[in-house]
Amino acid sequence: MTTNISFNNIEKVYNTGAGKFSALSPLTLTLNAGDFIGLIGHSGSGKSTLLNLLSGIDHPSHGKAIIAGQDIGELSEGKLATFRGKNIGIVFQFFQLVPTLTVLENVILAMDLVNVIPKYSRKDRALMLLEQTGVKRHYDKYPATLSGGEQQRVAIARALANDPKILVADEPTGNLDSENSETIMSIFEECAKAGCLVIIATHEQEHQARFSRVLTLGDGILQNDTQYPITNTHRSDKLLKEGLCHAS
Amino acid sequence: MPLNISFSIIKKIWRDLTERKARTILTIIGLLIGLWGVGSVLIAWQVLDNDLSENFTSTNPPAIILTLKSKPVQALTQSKNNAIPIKELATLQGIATLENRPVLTGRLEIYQDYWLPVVFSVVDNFSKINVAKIFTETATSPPQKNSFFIERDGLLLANWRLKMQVTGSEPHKAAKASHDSPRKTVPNQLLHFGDKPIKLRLKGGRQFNVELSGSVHDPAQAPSRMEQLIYGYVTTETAKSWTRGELVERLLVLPNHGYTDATSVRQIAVRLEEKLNELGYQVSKISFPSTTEHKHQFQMNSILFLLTGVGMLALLVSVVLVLNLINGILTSQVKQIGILKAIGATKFHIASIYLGSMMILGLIASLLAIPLAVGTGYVISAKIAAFLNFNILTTTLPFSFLLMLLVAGTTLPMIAAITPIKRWTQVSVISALQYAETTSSKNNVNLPLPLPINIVMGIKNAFRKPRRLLFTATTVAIGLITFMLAMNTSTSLLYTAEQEETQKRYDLMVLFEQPVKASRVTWMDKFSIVDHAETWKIKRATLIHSNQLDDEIRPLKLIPSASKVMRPFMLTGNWLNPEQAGGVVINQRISHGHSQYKVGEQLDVLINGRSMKLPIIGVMKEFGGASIYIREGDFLELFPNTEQLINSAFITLKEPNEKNLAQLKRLMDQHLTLADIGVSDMASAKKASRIIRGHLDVIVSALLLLALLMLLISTLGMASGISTSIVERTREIGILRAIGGKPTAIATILVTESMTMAFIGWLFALLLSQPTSKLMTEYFGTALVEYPFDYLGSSEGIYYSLFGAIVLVILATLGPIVSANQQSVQEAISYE
Repeated sequence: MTTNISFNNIEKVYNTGAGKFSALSPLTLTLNAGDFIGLIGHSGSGKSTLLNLLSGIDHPSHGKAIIAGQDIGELSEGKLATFRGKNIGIVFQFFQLVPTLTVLENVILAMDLVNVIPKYSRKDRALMLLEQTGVKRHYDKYPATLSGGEQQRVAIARALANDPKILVADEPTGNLDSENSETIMSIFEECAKAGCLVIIATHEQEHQARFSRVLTLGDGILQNDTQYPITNTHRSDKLLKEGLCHAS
Repeated sequence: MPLNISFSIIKKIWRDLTERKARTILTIIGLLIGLWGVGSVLIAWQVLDNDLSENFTSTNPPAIILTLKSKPVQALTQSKNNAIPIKELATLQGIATLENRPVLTGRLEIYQDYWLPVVFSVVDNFSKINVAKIFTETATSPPQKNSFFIERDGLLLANWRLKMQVTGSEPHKAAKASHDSPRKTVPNQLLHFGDKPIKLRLKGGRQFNVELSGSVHDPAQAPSRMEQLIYGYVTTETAKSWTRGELVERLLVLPNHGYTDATSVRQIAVRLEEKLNELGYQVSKISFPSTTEHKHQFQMNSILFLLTGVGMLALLVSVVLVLNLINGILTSQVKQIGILKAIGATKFHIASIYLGSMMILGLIASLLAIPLAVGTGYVISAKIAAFLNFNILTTTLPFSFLLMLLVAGTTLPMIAAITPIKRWTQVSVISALQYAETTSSKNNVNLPLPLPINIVMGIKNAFRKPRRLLFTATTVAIGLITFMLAMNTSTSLLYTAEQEETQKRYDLMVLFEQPVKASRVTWMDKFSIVDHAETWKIKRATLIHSNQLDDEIRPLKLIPSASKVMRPFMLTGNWLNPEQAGGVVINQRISHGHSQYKVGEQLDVLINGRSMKLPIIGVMKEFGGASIYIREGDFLELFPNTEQLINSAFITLKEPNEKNLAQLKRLMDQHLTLADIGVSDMASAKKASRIIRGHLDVIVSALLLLALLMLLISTLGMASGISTSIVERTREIGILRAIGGKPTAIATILVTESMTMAFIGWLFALLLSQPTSKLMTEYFGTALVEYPFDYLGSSEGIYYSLFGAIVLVILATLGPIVSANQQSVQEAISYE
């Protein structure tokens, strides 16, 4: 198996008015391509902190973080931004689409920033991703006119725009109903099966069965690291054939 | 990494600007006004600087002027023709052109009993003037016998109108067109003012009835309205008939190597003087006038400098508007910035988005402002050109200049926004994603006052964001400062005029052509309307600087011991008094520019061929030329054998009014004519204050116009600040409405917030306007008439400015209040 993320004694400490606060205790972790990982924990458990470190949007206070073969501590902010754009797709809890761009433009923007996908094929790729996430019919609309579920699907399409090796999502179904939640989780699952390392932070128990590995956090400590055998859903073959996550 | 401006980024830029159209339009208008203001002045400067110089140099100003004393003895005996051998003199080494241009001085009767001094230039050949050129405007050359051409500014001074038909612009209607533009005129018709010939009195008392036969433009002269002097031009034949052939010759010289070599110019003067001496002529004076700069270049520069300053203020306020806008955009998009960075945007991408927004604003504002600025720039140029009596020659502006304005206007908002953009692009992803605008309790104002809660909330809201409060208060302050400046300047100018009148405790001053015995004018105080009359002697003194004689001769005024007519304002030291015998008082004209001339120092002078050092006991403030004052008794001690002749008289009326003054002038005229005493000038004490008041309208009108402009920008600034504040608090306002807040309550909060900011701005303006106005009024005076105006603050200005601030608040807040109440509660609460 190809190792995608390797954390060696990672720790995150914040300086507060009341002194130093350890949001994440020293942690050593290896995550591999194709893993569908759930980060479980209550509020304040350190799961968002760990997710931020995994997605490269935050730096560890101590330890080494190697993501997709790159020690991210060696990268400047500018290079880290480009690295993220090329290698890590991020889905946020509150969608965070650019409100003044259409759905299609939001997906193309991710490709424009990183310049990995050739210019002439960006529009077609964006339309394809939107189709595969089921929101192609809204391609010319603005995010504010879409429902929560639809916006999250657009956010996923954007996260997949540059064909990342790693997909990270922070409570992606936190603001969705159960039907939309199921759809979103299925999409993530398919990406993992296609070889992407997918990491989802969630507190929703009903999704745990989908994960191939569950990391349980509490008070900044990794309390449990459980591996589960991979199971195919009835949708997985169909989506695999369509090549959801590696469509280039 | 190369900057990648993609189409999606361009779209984001455009849509960010158009999402909140009102705020964007306000900012564009603010920028437009600032760019328009500065652009107008820069264009005026471009036009005027070139044109004033060109007008001046087109006259071929003489590098040397030699004034001759008298006819040579040999010439009288050798030849009947007493003409100076111009052709022979012109062949001297270094001389390109030499012309004789004698001058005559006299007085013209403008209307009954009102005379103005006139200086006539005697022109040998009107069709062949190669040095100190004049340009005919409304006549064909030359003037007929016993008639004269008038310099066009003199028409305005005298308030005359030429009755000759002309096509083309009248003088000053539009100071346009080069001198080469053909003018059609009706062939020479002699004019009469009021159908009567004009009375002319020359030095020596001879009086003639003369006629005005046309107007000319002499751009090298200082404007008549400023000098209170008319310039006339006559033929040699006319001049000789008036003076019986006794003309004071004046040679004007153009060097053949250009003006730049001062040493060569002086050598030419020496050669010419030697030659003249050989021919039996004596030179009484040699002067080297400026050949590169017009006399009033400094005035023009001062006016433009002042206008530029105010234009810059307008631009500064525009920049504050831009900062307000960009801060508003950035703080509302912090999370977006975090997301963009998370998905791969570098800080260059982020910066390009917001700098791109600023560039678009600047480009739109510039494209609108530049044509406006060209129009206004030409209007300003025409006004100043008319004021200084020269023609606008520049009809098209260089493309490179306009391009430079466009580039500057486009990049200005980008430059202004660099700091906030840099700050927000450097924010880390995690900080941006976690950013929440929280109201820190440290900014809360504790107000234990028994005020309604709405008002308390409004006041507290004003202090929530200190930076925005500062920006908004500053824009208000700048507008109000300019307004108060206009009011204070107007009051100060009027005050200066009044002060000038009170310094001079006489009603009429008479200057005699020649010194006369005091006994010949003892009748002056016998008129029933006269309260007091005294006579002075005015000698000549030449200042010595660093062992070299000054070019100008200064009047040395001998004050009688019992003088009642002077109550000068002393800048430093004391007025003449017996305890400081031998001391002199100088006015500020002498002390400015010569730091050694101050109280306690010695004034180095040459009087009656004798150099001496006189202690300076005081420096006084006086409108007019440089003067030195000494007690008559002290002077007699220095020069005991001086003949006791007087050359000026000062008369005070029992009841000063226009009617008595006119009667006094008539009486003086009649009696002095009978006594065969020539008068070179007779002026009321109000002459100086009239000149000051004459400048008043132009200055104050310009300032008030600029003040209105500034207040408009201030209104835009306040409106922008308030609307940004409302947008940021949309949810908060929605909640207030949800829990029972009526539209009037919301309006009260917002208006109170605006009033608080405007009041703080008004306080800033009040604090800063006084010292600013004082500096400005002194600057105006020194720049325009070399006399620092007296400062007096305007109390009306304080009240009007406060009223203006209130009006500004109402105008600025109206739109934002309406839009805040229009949004539904549900929309407002769910706003993010």
